[in-house]
Amino acid sequence: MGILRKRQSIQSGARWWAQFGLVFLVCLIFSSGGNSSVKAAADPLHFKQHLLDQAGLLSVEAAGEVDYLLAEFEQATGNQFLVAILPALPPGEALETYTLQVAENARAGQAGKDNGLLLLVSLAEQAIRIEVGTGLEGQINDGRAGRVIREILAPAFRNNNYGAGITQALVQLMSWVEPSFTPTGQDSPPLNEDSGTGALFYLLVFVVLFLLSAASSRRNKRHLSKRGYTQPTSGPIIMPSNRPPFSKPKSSSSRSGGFRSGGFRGGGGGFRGGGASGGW
Amino acid sequence: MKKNQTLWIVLGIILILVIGFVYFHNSFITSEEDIDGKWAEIENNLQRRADLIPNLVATVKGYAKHEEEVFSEIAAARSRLMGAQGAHDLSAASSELDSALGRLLVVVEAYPELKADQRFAELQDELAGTENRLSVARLRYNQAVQIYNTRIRRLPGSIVAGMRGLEKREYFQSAEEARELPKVEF
Repeated sequence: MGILRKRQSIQSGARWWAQFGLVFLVCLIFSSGGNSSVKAAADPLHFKQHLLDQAGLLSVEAAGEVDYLLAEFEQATGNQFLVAILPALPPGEALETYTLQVAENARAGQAGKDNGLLLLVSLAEQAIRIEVGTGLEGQINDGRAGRVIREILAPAFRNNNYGAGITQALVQLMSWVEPSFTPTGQDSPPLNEDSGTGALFYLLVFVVLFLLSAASSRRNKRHLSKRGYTQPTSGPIIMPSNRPPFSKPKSSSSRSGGFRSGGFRGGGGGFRGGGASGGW
Repeated sequence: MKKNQTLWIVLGIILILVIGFVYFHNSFITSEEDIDGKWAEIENNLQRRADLIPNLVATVKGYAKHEEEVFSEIAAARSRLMGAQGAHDLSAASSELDSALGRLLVVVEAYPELKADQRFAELQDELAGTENRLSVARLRYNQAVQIYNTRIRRLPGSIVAGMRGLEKREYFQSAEEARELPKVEF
């Protein structure tokens, strides 16, 4: 009797140890199997639209035009082009590495096709970089990207024609990628046919924007200060990154049949450092 | 009955060991392939740079014929790079080429017509783009190496790695990094 019971307890002890060892081993294997994370990326920019104007450089009209152009290009061709305008680069970040990081975090371009592009402008450094997705390096080689910066962006920026310069540069880049693409805004520029209703619309947008930014400015300020930016302007801060989905009233209704630029979602395209840098 | 049970336990342990071995074996292979792929990217960019240089030199020669010294220096560095084998050799040869190219760009400063040349500006963009791709490729390669080196040295994977005789991989270091390291900024 006693021997039997003792044997049973030994047995159950052995079983317990076996089970424990099994679980322990499995845990070990799976814990070490995962990647030891090499490096945490810096705080990324969040693209709600194709254009992210953190510096508030562009007028509402110009920003709407640029964003519309980018959204339309994506809709028509699938290529994801983005524009970011910053008051300054985060401290300690080089233009090239930071732009690459932003482009990768935004996941611009379709997965597999890698057809993204990021135009980044930083005001404090007067620096421009065009980061070209791996899949577009054939159509937009470094020389071409450099030419766009030297011949279109830099001269326009020197004359304070920021919106026009960016639009023109984008149209040029787009024509290399997709020669058949013709932006609807080009032959009927919205600024020329700005009627009373148009002005009213912009005023309305402005008011909504202002209210929105006022409501969320606290959150934004904290967000920004964490990143180390200093806001160059004083007074009421309008955060253009909070711009609601925006579409040009004229061309959207008359030309492309109700197409709205409905924000931006990264497709997971890859970058490897192609493109060009410059300044003005 | 008790015999049966011990048999099962032993079998279970063996099974776990086998699964563990296969798991680590496969993860090392994935890691090695990752490293090799990223190394190929580095070599691509080194090759691309080596291909660009004759064009650049030819363009500069059109304006600055008398700078033979720099041209021959670049040619020598380039041929050394083409013949280099392995991470250590390659990074040494590549940094040599870097400094030769740096001297060329200093020479260029003395020729304003050359700087205004459209073709030269584009070649410089191409070269800068290749340098940038190279530094990205180098960063990604080094990250892959770091993951691999960590994996093969951590228990229990290190047992499998030891059985297979795996060794730490070399990092690819650049001249710039070596130069920048001692710099202290506040």
